[in-house]
Amino acid sequence: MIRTVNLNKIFRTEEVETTALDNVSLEIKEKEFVSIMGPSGCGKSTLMNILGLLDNPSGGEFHFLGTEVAKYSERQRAQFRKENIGFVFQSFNLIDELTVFENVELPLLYLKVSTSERKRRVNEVLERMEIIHRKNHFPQQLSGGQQQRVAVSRAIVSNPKLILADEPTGNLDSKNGDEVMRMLSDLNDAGTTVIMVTHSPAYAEYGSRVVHLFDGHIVTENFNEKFHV
Amino acid sequence: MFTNNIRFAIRNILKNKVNLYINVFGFAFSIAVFLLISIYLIHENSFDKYHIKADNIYRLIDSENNSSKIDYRVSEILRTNFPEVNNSCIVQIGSQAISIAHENNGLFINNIMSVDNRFFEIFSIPFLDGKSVNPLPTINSAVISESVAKMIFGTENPIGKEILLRNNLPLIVSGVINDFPKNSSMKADLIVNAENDNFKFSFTCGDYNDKKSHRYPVNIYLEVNENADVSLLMKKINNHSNLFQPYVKSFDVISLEKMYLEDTSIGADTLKGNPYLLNLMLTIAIIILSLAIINYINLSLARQSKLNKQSGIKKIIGASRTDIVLSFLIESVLVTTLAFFVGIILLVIGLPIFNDIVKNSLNINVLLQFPYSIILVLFILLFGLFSGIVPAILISSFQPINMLGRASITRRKSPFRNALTVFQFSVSITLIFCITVIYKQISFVKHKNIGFEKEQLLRIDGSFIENSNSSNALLLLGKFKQFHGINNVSLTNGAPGKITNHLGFGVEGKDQLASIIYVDSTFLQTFKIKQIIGRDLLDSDIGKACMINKKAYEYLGWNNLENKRFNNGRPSGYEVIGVVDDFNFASLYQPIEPLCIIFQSTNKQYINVSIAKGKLQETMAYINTAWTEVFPYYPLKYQFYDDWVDLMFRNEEKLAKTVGLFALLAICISSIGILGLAIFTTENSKKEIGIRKVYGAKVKQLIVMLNLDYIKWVVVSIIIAFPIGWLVMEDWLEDFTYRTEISWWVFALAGVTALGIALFTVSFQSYKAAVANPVDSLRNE
Repeated sequence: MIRTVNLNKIFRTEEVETTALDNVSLEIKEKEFVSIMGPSGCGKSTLMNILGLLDNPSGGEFHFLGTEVAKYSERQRAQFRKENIGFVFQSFNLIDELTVFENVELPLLYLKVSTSERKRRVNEVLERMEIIHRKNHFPQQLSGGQQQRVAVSRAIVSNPKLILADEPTGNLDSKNGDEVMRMLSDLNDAGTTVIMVTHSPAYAEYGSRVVHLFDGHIVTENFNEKFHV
Repeated sequence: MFTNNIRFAIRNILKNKVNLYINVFGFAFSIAVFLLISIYLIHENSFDKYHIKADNIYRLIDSENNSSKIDYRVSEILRTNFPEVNNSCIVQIGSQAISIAHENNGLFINNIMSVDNRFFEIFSIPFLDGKSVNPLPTINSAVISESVAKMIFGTENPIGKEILLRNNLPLIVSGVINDFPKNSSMKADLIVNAENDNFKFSFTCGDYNDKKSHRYPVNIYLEVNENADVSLLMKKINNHSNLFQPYVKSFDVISLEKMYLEDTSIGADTLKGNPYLLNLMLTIAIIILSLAIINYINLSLARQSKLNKQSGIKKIIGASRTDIVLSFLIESVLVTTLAFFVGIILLVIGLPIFNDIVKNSLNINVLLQFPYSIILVLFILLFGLFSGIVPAILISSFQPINMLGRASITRRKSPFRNALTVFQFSVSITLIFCITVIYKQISFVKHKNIGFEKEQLLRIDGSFIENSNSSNALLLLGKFKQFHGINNVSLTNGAPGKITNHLGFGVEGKDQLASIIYVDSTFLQTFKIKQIIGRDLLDSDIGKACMINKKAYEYLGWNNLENKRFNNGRPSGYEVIGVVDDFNFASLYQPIEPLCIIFQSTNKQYINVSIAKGKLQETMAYINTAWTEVFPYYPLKYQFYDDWVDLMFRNEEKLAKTVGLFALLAICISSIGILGLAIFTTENSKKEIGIRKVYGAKVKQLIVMLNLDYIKWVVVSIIIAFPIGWLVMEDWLEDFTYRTEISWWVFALAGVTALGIALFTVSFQSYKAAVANPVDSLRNE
C-alpha cells in the first residue's frame, strides 16, 4: 500500500538546516497495523505528516497505492487525502463550534455525499463507537475519552483505506487509552490499514510491526509474533 | 453543503460575542454613514432631472466672459436661425425678498422669477389652476405657487384676482402652479412676464439716451432637438457670430442636468450645489467603510490561531482551499447583513440629525426605489465579500500541518496588521487636524473686524415703501428716532450684503465698476464707519455729494479731494467730499472692492437701526409695535448684521459639523477596532506576560510594554497624518481672503488627542493582562 524509498525531509530556516528524515525506506502492506516509536524529535510526526499527505518530502520516493505522490500539489494531496486517509490526533482536533454529529459528518460533506446517506453513515458509525447518545453535544461537553471516540468516528466515517493515528492515547487515562486502542485494533481487524505513532511500548504491541526511529533514521523494525500478515 | 456552511458560520459568529459586537457595530455605523451620504448624494444628483425634457435643455454661457448673463434678444436670434434649437426662453430670478399683497393680506416672498411664455413650454411646470399654454397672457399677468396662493387667498380662487407688488405694481393672477420640488435649482413663488419692463431685473447702460443700446442680461435656456449633436450645434452657432453680435462673441452651453453641480459660470440665477462638500462626504464614506473593513480584517487576523486550528482540521479531513475561503466569505456576508439591519436603525435615528446639519429633508425611502434597492443589496454582498476575502485568502493559504501547531500570532510580528492599524490612526489624526483648522478659520473670520459696528445693528426690509419721504415712512422714522433704545437710524438703498447697484468709474483705459450705496445723512454714525479724509457732510450736500472708500481712492490714484467728482465721464455726477476707511460690504470671501456712498434723500429700501447696548429686548418689542401700527398689513422682516456675517459662513459651519460628526464616527469605529485588537493581542501575549512576571516584571512595566506598541504606531501615524492634513487644509484655506494660520497647537492638539484616545482604549486591557496570575496563563499554555 505504501512504499517509501530514501525519503528525506529537511527543514530550512535562514540560518539553520535540520534533517528530520534521512533516507527512510519503508513498506507497509494493506491491512497492516504499524506502530512507530522513538524519542521526541526523532521524526515520527514528520514521517506521519508525509505519509498522511499533509506535507511533501524534500527527496526520495513515496508510492501510495501504487502511485508516486511525493511531488503532489496541495490540491492533489487534499483530494487524495479525503478519499483514502482518516486521521486521529493526540489532542483530538475536533471543531469546538460543531456538534458531535456535525464533526463526524464533516468529511462526508467534503466528499459531497448526499444528506440522507450522510445521516445514515454518521449514525451508524456513532452507534458503532457507542457515542450516539452524545451526538448533539459539543466537544467541550465530553470527556477526553469520548472526544477521542468522536475523533475516531470522524476518521472512519468515510471508510478510508488508511488510518493515521498520532499518539491517539497521549491525552487519555489508561482506561480510555485501552478503549481507543481496542477500537483501532477492531478497525484493523475489519481490514483498515493503521499506522500509529506512540510513546507507549504496551500500545505499540497492538501493531503487527513496530518501527523505531532515531534522529530521522529507521533503527529497527520488530515484527509482532502474534500477527501473521 | 452551502446550508451547512451557513449553519456553521452562524455558530462561529455567535461563539465569539466580543468579536460579533465589535464587527456588527463597526459595520453598522459605517453602513449607516454610507447610506446617509448615499441618500444625500442621490438627492444632490437628482436636481432638475424631473423636467420631462431635461435631457435636451441647456443654458447658454457667454464663453468669453464665462457668464450666464446674456442679453435677452439672443434667445430669439438663436431660435429663429438654427433649426436644431426647438425652443428657447429667458429666465431671471430676483435675488431680493419682495412684498406682495392682496387687499389687506401681505407677505414677503424670496423667489420671484421673470420669464417669457416659452419657459412653460420647455420646463415641466404643473398647473393646478389656470392655463398651462401661454399662462402669462398680458405683461401684468402673474403665476403664483400653491403655497403663496393659500397664504394670500386662503380658499378663494385666485385666478383673475389682483395682487400688489412692492405696494405699487398691480398684477393679475393668471395661474397657480405646484410649489417647485426640493430638487429644483430654480425656485419661484411668483412668476411674472419678462416682457414687462419692470421685470427686467438688471440692465447696463449703453448710450444714455438710446435705449436700444442698453443691455438686459438674463439667463437663456435652449431646448435642443433630441437628435442634434450639441457640440456640433455650438460650433455652428459660433461660426455665425455675426448673427448675435454685438451682444456676445461666442457661446458655450451647460446641460440642465449638470447645471446644479458642475456650473462654474458667473451670473446664473439658479441654486448651485456644493460639489466640494459632496466629494468630501463621498471620501469620508469610503474612509469609514474601509475603517470597518480594516477592523474586520484586523480582528480576524488577531483570532488567527483559533481560526487556523479550525481551518487546519477542515483541510486535513478533506476541505479544499475554496471550501475554506467560502466559509470565511459566508461568515463575513452574514455579519454585514446583520450589521446592515442594525445600520438601518442607526440611519433612522441619525437622519434627522443630519437633515438638521445640511438643512434638508432627506428621506430614507429613496433607497427602496429602483435601481437603488438593487444597488443596495449588491453593496451589502460586495461589502461582506470584500471584508472576508483578505483573511480568507491569508488563512486558507497555510499548509494544514502548520495550522494545527502553536503558530499563534505574536505581539510584535505582523507588519500587515500594523499597517492597517497605522492607517486607522492616520485617518483619525488627519480628521482631528482638519476639523480643528476648520473651526479655527470660522472663529477667525467671525471675530474679524469688518470695519463697521455689526453688533446690535439691524436691517429692516422696507422694499415696499414707495418713497422714503412718504408719510408712513416718515411716521415710522419719527417713532424710531424718539425711542431711547435706538441710537441711530439710517435709510439706505443697498446695504452691506445687499448691494445691487454698480456704476462704472475709473481711470483711463481701465474698465472698473464701483458698488453703490445710496444713503441718508446718518449712515456713517449708524454704522460707525470711520471717515479718514475730507470734510463733514452738510445738508446742502444731499443729492449732490458722495464719499468713496479707501480702495476706490487708491484705485483712482488721487492725492486729495480737491475738485474731485465721481461721474464716470458723464455730465452729472457727484462731488467727492470724503474718503471712508475700508469696510466689508460684500462677502468675506472676497477682498474689499471700490465703493461709492451717495447721499440722497429718496427711494430707500432698507431701514438700518442701531440699538443701544443692553436694550435689545425692549427695543425689538418697540420696533415690532411701531411697525404694526404703521404697516399693519406687512410682516416685519429684518436681519441683524452679525447674523449676516454668521450666515456667510453657514457653508463652512455645515462643513465643520459634517466633518466633525463623521470624524467622531471614524474615531469611534477605529477605537472599537483597536479595542478589539487589544483584547486579542493581550490574550495572545498571556504566555509572554506570564514568563516576564515569573522573572520579576512589575505590573507597571508590563502595562508600559503593552501600551508602547500602540504609542509607537500612533507616532508613526502622526508622521503620516500631519503632512496630509496640512496639505489638505492649506488647499482649503486658499479660497479665503481672510485666512487663519495653522498654528503649532493644532498639530499638538491632534497628536495628543489621538494618543489619548489610543491609550484610553488599550490601557484597561493592558492592565487586565498585566495583573493576571502568571500561573494560569502558563498552565493554559
